[in-house]
Amino acid sequence: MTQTQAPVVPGDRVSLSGAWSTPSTHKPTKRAGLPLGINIFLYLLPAFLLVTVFLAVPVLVVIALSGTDWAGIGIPQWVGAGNFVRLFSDPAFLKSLGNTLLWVLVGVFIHTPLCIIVALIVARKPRGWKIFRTVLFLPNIISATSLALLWYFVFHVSLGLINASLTLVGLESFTRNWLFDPSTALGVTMTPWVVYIGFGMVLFLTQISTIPQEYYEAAQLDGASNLRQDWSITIPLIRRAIALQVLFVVGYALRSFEYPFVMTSGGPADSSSTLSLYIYRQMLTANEYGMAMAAGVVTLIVGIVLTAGVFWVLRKAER
Amino acid sequence: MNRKATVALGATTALAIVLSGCSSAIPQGGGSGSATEIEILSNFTSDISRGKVLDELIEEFNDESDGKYKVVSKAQPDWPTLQQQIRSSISAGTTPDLFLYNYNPTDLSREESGELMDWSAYINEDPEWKARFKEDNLAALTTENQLAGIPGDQAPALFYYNKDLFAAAGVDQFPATWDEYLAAAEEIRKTGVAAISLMTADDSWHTMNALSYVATAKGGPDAYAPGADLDSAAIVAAADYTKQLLALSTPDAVGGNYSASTSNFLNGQSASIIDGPWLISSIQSTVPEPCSIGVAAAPGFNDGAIEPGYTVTDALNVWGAAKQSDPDKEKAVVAWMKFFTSNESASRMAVDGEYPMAVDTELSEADRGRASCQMAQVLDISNAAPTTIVQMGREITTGAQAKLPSLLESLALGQTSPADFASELQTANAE
Repeated sequence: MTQTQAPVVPGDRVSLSGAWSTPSTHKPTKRAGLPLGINIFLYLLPAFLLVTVFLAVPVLVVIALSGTDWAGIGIPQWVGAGNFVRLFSDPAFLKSLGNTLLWVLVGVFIHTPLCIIVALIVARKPRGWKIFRTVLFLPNIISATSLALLWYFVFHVSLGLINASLTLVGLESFTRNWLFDPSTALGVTMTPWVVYIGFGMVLFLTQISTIPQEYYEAAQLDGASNLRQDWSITIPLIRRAIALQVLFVVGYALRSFEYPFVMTSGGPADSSSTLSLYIYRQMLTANEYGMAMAAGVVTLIVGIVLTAGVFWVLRKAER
Repeated sequence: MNRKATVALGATTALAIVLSGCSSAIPQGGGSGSATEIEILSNFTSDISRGKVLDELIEEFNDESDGKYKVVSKAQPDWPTLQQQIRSSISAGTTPDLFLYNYNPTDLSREESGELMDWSAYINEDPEWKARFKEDNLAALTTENQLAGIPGDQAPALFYYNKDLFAAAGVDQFPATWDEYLAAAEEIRKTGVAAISLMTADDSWHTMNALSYVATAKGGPDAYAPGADLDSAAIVAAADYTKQLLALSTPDAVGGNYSASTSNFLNGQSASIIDGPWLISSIQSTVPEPCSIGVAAAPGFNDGAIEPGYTVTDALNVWGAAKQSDPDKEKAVVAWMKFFTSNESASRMAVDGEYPMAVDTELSEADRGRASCQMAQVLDISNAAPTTIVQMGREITTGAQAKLPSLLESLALGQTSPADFASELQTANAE
């Protein structure tokens, strides 16, 4: 390939005597650079500013407002720990807290194992695995509100697919008001999240793909079954991905809002309410901004404790 | 600067000037440059009848003011969002020029924010205008001789019932007492139709209408007035009747929202509903024989606690305005409100907008002829009502309001007895 030279424009300062691309024979001058500490500071400054403005300050405001009585207008009145005392004597809050922790448990002990199992199957690349993987991941790119609405109609008492199907196969006695029966409402709002395993599955598949094939070949020579290989090679080697998934699950469970909001509004009688929904109600219905902030602080503390717990378990597993 | 750069700069400037002239979709009138502009924030979107009438009235007002004033409507269709938007704006010191908000005697944070305009001087200097409003409403909005707003609407919640479904169950006349209503409801249920549309989600509007009617029929107009003890015999009785009504409602009443409840009535899955006049436009557009839907005052009891024919209403919605530093803007706000609350505007809002306003409205014969079969009945019942009482959900504290869905659902599911319902409601209201 021939290299074309750019035309020389009058006025451009180009040495015509030397070759076009001849490197300078001058020794590189020693530039007086900024000290390393200042360099690091400058690199971190944008991120530090963003975190300060959009995370640290709002968190501090939430913590400050959690000790006030404020209706959203006027000057907040300082009530100290009063909001927290009220929170822990409010059955609706305790129910929401309990339900949120149940979301965490279901996420960790049902949703995550389901993701692992499907990832282990798909990693063996059975026939049609690519389609399977795509279909399972699809719900992750659809708005949760739309999906919640879809599931609302699946479980609806008179328009729902479940009751219609049960009636069709002669199991009419099993039909019920799934969304508003206190014994089923919470489970029903969790169902979509539990079964949408696409994200976790992809996370595990990515990690599984980094495991050297030799490990499996050696295990096969030793006569290890597929189950044994998964149990003794794959799962231990994806433990960091499992920890990451659990962190995601905890985060999502603490923020769980769309499914209970759209499907049951947290009812009946708060049986499917979550912390996020409780905070929403305190702010937008009761105009109790202080109480909402206090509930937010409790959510933050629960999140920190759970995250620390996950890291503690991970460190123990590493040893 | 070289020639090319100068030409480029000139061309860009010229393009910017041309484009800025095209940027507004609203035609700029010759005299509008000096007009004092005010913005109205409400839920009157242009796709609903009251929004259409508002737009027409605004256009007429702007024309009549001959370039002096320009009113612009900014509508937010979702009522709770609108209320939060107003609250946030007041809090941020950017109160809208004129806005529609729901008055709640237990939450005067907006009225006492110091950000609202005082209407008292304007209404006191015009006795004719003042006489158009109910004294009670003006008194409620007055704090320390300052009038925080102009009464906007106070929609009566009345029984809308499907005459054909009642007749199919052998009920030819709308029941006069709640016990007769329950008996009729049982007959209606036997025909495979729910007797009444109720819902417990959000503000439990339809269910709270029923509860409010029974409570006031049992305990009189002050059964749940601000400061009243809700742990009372009237509220216990009301909870008991409401529980029975919920059992006679559609299967999705517990947990259902306004939309589901209304659809059930409009689709003929339930025979009655207690709702505001905004339902009329849906009846007119959805029900095949719109005039088969009758309107009735709620049943009562024969114990004389309250005079029959009274109405329970939605909260008083109020037109509040921002405290203005510009006197011209304040004059514009007052001029618009006088125009908007005139008998002619109110009649058009009632007949064409299906939105009866909280002002004295006398319909002409022509207007009466144009009114839908339901609106004419609504106006007759409202005019004949000896008393109006605001619905309970609008009178209790916001904290108690937030607990209503849960309390009603517990009541419907048998987790809470009517007595416990009253007691828990009182506790929530007293917090």
